[in-house]
Amino acid sequence: MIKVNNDIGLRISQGDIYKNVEYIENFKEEGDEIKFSKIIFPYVVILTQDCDLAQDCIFRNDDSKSDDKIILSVLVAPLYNVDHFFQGAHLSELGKKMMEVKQKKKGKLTTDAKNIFQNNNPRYHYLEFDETVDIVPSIIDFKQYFSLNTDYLYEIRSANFVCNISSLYREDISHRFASFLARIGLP
Amino acid sequence: MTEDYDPIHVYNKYLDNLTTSESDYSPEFDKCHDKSYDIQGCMSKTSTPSSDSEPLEHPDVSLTSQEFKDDEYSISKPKRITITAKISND
Repeated sequence: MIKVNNDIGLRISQGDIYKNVEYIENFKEEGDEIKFSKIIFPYVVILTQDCDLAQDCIFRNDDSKSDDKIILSVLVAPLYNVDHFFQGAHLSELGKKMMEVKQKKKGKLTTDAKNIFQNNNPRYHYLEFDETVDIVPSIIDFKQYFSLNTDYLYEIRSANFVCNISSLYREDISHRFASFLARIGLP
Repeated sequence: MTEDYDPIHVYNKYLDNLTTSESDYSPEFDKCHDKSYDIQGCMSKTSTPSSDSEPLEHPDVSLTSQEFKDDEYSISKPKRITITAKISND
């Protein structure tokens, strides 16, 4: 079980979890119409380095400084309900069928499930929250990271902030995400 | 690794609690672990059954950019919403 901080703090921080986040998927102009589709993610976790977010906040709020340290977008990864995830159904609303992972065999956890629960599968990070957070056990899928506009995140921050993952646990997530991104694809 | 920090131990304890101690968990939370139940809307432990069962009212809509506004979302899986907006020359 991870430890969290329910204090919203003064700025966007690494390890923040936000709910009902909108990701603009596609945008098209056709004649006198604009069509766009967006995906609403129930929960995302902030992955951008915290020092970058701290610098961004300082430069954002100080007109005497340049905009040199402003960041235009913030890296996030979605959190999925662990049961949806094991069923391979967590993206069913988007028409995607994901891999089903057998959770138990003869009443015991399968090796695949154990690897996921113990965070031994580099792609996924299992999170279990205490009772102060209204989120069921969840999985972060590092493969599905995306970016959100920083201004947009600041706009929704007060209404959509859920909690901040405390430093040790968020460093673990950050480190595992960096390792996943830096992996070398061998033939 | 101590038992308290062993994720498998914690998860097994959590599954045991689901079957043995009904009072510890809300019915909505239990539904998430009932495979026969449509697990839409189970992301929040405290979400109400009514908000879980109501479908989102987001058909393709035609709005001008001025009319566009955000709704409250209460969902458990990522959802796609398509919006068409008329460009006004006014």
